[in-house]
Amino acid sequence: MLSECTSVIATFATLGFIIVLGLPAVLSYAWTMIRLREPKRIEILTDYSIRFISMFSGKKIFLTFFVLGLLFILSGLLCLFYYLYPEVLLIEIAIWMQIVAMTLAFCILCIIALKTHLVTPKEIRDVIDYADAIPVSKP
Amino acid sequence: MKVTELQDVDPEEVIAGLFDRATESVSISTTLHPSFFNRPRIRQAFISAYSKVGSFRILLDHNIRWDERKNELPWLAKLAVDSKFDVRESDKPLLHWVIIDSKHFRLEKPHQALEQNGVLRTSNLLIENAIKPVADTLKDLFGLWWKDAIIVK
Repeated sequence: MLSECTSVIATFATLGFIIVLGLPAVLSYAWTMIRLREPKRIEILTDYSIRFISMFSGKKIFLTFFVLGLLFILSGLLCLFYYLYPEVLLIEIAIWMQIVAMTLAFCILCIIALKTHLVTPKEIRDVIDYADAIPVSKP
Repeated sequence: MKVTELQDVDPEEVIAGLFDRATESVSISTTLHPSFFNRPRIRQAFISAYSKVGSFRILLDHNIRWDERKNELPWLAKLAVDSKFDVRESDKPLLHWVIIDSKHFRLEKPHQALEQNGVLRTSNLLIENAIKPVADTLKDLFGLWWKDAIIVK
């Protein structure tokens, strides 16, 4: 029973990880690469496409993804725990607590990673504005 | 990565603050305007950064001559004897950037020459701990300017 639960938890944690960290981070990174390296390519995309890609790079959207991912993981844990509670032994509770703690620690690591790597569309626009400026010729 | 835009400010603290963080390398594109670089805070930060890093590159803007600047900035001329100090002169107008340790950047919006009374207010973009694609792009651009410039020291 415990191994089944662990595998279910691992699945939830993996899905949560993909939602929390993977999707916004990969899209944000890809968008940054395209925007910086191939400015002409982004020009030919429709406004809708740009808005769609930019949406995933925004901090608010990331926060939404993060909260959803976290709720997803926690709800999965709570459901399983509630379902299993009458049967579990104390030792199992301890193991469960460890799993919860590891999941939370994992989420905290995700926050740190994303705070380091996430780039918003405005930040990229600012970088491009400054880097593409025309220098003034001094007398 | 943290990006902060500081508009219409005196860039002294922005630049000195970045110099203070240097541990590996410094690259700057600049006019080395004496009234700005002779300020005590800038001079001190510059010298301190120089003592810590392994590479210090100065790319002089269009129409700026190293020989003239050496006379106007004697403290800088003293540093320039070291082999880690490289200077080049650009024959094209440049944007004024500071690159610290290949990860911290100060970009500047183009502005006219320093005002007569020595007051300087510029728009600055401070990028701290730049992610790789941003850092690589900016470094590559600076590298192109550097490659096209004339070696003077």
